[in-house]
Amino acid sequence: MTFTEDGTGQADFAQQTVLLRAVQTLLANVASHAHARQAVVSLSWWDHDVSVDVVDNGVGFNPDRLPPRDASNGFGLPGLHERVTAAGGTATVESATGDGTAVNVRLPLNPPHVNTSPRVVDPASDSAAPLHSPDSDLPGESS
Amino acid sequence: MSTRVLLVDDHPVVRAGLRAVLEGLPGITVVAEARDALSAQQRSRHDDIDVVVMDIQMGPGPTGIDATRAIRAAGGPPVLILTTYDTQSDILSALEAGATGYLLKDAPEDTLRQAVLDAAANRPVLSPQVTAQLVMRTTKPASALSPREIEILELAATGASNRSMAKQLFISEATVKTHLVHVYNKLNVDNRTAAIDRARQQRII
Repeated sequence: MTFTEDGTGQADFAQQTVLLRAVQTLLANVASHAHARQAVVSLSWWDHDVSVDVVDNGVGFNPDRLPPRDASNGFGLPGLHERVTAAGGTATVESATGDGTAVNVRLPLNPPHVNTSPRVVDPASDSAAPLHSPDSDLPGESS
Repeated sequence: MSTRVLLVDDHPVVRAGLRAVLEGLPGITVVAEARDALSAQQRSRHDDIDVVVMDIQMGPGPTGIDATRAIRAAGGPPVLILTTYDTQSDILSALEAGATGYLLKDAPEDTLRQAVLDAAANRPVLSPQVTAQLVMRTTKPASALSPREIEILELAATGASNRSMAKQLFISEATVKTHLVHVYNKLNVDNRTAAIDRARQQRII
């Protein structure tokens, strides 16, 4: 098990709890199901969010065929997904049979108290503009 | 007493040349040579070395930066990196690994001599180009790439796909994409090829 961190930042207590429980759940999954030789937990701090990746090189699985939620088989992914979503974040599972598993959990960070460049809200507009235009600048595989 | 140098470079001709130059400098003696990272680590354990003069790229296997990290972690002598490359990526990795100095191979002889003596005395040494790179990072912190972002850009420059980068770095593809978006923003470009070009121009990679 290896831990890495990129950047610095501060999450509030509720967010720390969500992240901690996510990492616990995911490492428990790795231990019980992945048959992995290596697992890496990476914490990344960005301006507006924090994310944690739990990645293993084990047997993987088909994310479309998760066991049902009520089956007491130890897969805590549905519960994790609920907790993360309730905290305003996202959980993304990347896996394929035989190809390891990577789970990314991302939470928005609370806006800083001192905002040096306040957003100007246009009173004529009744909906807030999105921070990023959706998907328009997502990096493709190549260019 | 003369300052005793362990000279590490994988190129026999370069090593011989550097040895000749160093031996010609007053107060400096080359007491040992190594041609790869592992033999450098082993040789540095003898207590007859005051400073290691280390190349970075040494063929396949561990780099001079790996050797620097191992030597410093083992409480070995200070390391002066002597290389052809002045990219932020190499400089930051070397300093993070514990190198005391970072000098380019085109340095004049008197600069080289002073650098060897300073590094042997544990005084930090940076060549002007290297200092310029570091100053650029400090004066424009908003656009400075994080170590992970630089790592990702270097992999992208090798032609690696997002998926391949994710596998190599043991992170999710989602995180690779987020890092790339931040890299594009910081470099003020909108695609991978432009980011790699810009990073090379600015000697980040």
